[in-house]
Amino acid sequence: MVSPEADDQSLVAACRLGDRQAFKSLMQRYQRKVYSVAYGFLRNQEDALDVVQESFIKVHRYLGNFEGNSSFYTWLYRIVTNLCIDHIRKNKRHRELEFDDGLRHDGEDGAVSALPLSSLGDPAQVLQRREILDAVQDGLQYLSDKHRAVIIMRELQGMSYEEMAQAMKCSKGTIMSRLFHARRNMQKLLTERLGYVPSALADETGEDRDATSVATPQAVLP
Amino acid sequence: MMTKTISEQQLSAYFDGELSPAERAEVEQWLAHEAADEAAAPSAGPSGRAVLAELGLMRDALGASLNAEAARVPEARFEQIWDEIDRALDRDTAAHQPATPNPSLWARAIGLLRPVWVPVAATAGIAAVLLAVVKGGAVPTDATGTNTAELVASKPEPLPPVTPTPAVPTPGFLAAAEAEPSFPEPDMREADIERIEFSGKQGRIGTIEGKRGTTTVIWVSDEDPGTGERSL
Repeated sequence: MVSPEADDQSLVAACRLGDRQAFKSLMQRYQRKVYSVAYGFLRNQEDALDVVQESFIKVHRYLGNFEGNSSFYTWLYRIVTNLCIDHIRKNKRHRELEFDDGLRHDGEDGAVSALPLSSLGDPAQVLQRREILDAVQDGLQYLSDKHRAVIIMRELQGMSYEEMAQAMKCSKGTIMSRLFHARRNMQKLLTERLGYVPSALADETGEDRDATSVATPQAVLP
Repeated sequence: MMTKTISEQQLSAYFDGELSPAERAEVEQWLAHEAADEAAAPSAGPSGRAVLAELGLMRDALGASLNAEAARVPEARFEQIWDEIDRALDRDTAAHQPATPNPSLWARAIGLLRPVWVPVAATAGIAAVLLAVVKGGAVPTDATGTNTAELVASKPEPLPPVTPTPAVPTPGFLAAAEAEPSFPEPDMREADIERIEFSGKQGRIGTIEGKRGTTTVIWVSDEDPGTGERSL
């Protein structure tokens, strides 16, 4: 019986021999990461947990097809991504909403005029602040399905443009453009959301912040 | 300040490491040039490096945000999911069990003929017993009153000395039959058997009169004859 601390390759090899406990160890290692990705795509806890479950069942079912050319988690994330995209497409049919960039396309191609996160101070501290992390999640909520998908695939899963193009069945050029617009929209949403944060934070934390380093929505939005 | 020579889209692809080596070199040259210009005369807008830093921060913030979301899910919820997965894997395993191999043609033929060959074999056994009884007349009994096949079959007694005829050797049993005509030859028409017992089984014998004459029918059953019968 292989140790739960064993590396992915050893656990995968044990799983192939029918070691159910090894498979459980693999799942426990990646379940929260898989959930993060699924939640990023779907924005719903139960839907994301359904994808976690379905992903690991598929992983077990197709473990024999895993050739080991890529790492296990890359292969796992591909499965998760495909399931999430399928889920969105299915729901799209039910909701009759468009899984399309045009739904919330920014429609502009001008230069970025504000850097909402950089303007909040020390990056290490920014990442510790709950309200900022919540703002990021809110921003995701308001992106179109396709913009959210490319952002999650790229930023969370580290997929290449080529891999993303395969997953979304489009060209690399489309992915490049889509990702650029998705990031711009995200920056705008964060600017809107975080433009009001610093004064409240200053009250809460007592931080002496330079007012000029914080952009207000009126000042930064075109 | 960024100029039109490098678009934000290119800068985004540069950040992702998705540019060709030539394009990458071009962007890096532009960034270096821009840094020098910034030192001389700061621009109002964000620099290329600041944009890249913002992209990196957004990536980190996104990861931190979703990891925090995942941390909120209680471990017990994942345990429930594992239970579901475990059950699904059991179902998968059961579905992939090798199916019972199809019986061979012989096995199937034997199975189909079983209702026929069992009574046939039983009847053959009964017939053998009857033949022995009929041929032997009264069944000799031993001291306990039981009759056995061993008792029915006559044991050859020591043969009287016979002058050997080397030309035609006589088989032993024929010689015994000839030498021991102790039972009268039975008349088959006199046999009137209505009930039989064979190896713990019971049955009946009857006759059916038809156009082609009389047909003898033997019923043999493992079960209580009152509840089930097999006919030949």
